[in-house]
Amino acid sequence: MAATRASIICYYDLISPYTYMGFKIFNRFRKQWPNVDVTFRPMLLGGVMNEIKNQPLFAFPSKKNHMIADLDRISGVTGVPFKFPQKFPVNTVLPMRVLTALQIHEAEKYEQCIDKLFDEYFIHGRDISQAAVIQQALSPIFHSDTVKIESYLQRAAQDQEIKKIFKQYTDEAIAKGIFGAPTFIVRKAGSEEELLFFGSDRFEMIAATLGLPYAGLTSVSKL
Amino acid sequence: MSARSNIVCYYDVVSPYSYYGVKLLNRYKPQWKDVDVELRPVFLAGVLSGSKNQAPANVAAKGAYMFKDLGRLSTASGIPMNFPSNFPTMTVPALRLLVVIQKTESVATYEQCVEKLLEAYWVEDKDVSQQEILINALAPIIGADKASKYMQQTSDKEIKQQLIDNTNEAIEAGAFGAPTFVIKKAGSDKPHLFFGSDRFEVITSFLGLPYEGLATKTSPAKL
Repeated sequence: MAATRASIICYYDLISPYTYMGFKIFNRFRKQWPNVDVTFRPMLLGGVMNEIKNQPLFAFPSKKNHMIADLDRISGVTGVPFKFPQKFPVNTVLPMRVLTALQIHEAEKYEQCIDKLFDEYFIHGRDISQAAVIQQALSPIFHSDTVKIESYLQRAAQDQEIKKIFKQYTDEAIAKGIFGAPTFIVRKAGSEEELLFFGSDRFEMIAATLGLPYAGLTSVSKL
Repeated sequence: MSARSNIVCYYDVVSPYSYYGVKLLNRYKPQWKDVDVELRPVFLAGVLSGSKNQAPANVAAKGAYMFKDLGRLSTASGIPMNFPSNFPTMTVPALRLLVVIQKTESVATYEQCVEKLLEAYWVEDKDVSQQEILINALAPIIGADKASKYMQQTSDKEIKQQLIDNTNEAIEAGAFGAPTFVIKKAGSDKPHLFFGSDRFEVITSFLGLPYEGLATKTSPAKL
């Protein structure tokens, strides 16, 4: 029996600024980590927070201010563009359910779609809770097939199966001890043990855990 | 305005990430040219209430995660940590003692004392809320007579006020936890706030300094 490969599951919600940054940085670092299986799992961050009685960062003014300054600086160091959206927060249930559907039905386009929706919010400041914004954002990826995108928007709004799966992912996150986003569940090669890493600032630790190179934040723009 | 960069590290002995923050700062700063560093004691509970924040361990999942994160950080950095049997503990006596020492002794001696008290709690599992323990911990550095004399001075109005002033200063600067680093670049009066012992990579980039990483030549890079 062949040993399983190392794996990383990234639990994400489009609402989260640190997840935007973590997602972008992670996708650069993983170019150096080709033997790691990577999965992006949607979860409803608000659902997690409510269940475990945690509060989001932005509920605290000094934490919110720090977050914005922190991400602006990290943007400067890494070259990842970032602009805190004027309309914050927005309800991300619709786009997250769309992504849940895309993960199942459009596997090859899924990660591109996550990336595009993150950009839409954290670079262009558009309201990704709106179907029209989602439609416009995904259009280039689906070669202007508006009917197809519309069908996913419908499914996201009405399909019980998609709603159920998205809720299951959120419940699973809570069961694993997740309390925020981004959270990376890391498994070493050949191991069943799930190691939980919270935040967009644990990549050096994740690399050390997996015995992989860590290029550093200042190298992100070159990867 | 200074020709040198300036870092003020606000810390509390009770804070595990302050322990790592001070240890890492002391490891890195000998390599940093033209950077002045000051360790300033604050009462973390005061910072939390003043910024209307709460301690992470108040949310069960966060507390459980913190425990694991601290253990992995120890392995990655080679900095020893044994989570204390009494956490949290009352650190006002220790903090006031450090205020006295900062006012009276040389910077080098004060910094040694800061590390010693942090280690007493975070490595040796000593009850640092107790005067006798604090005196015994510092006796090897400053002598038992001075340690006792300084301990008595902790009830001076001026000393109590200094700790309050430090704490309020941190809150006014935007701090909501510990360790908090307030940094001014050489030639600028503008303060920049960085929170957490996991911002050294961003701080060094900000100051145009190289980042040494968590691993040392003697500690393994692999977890």
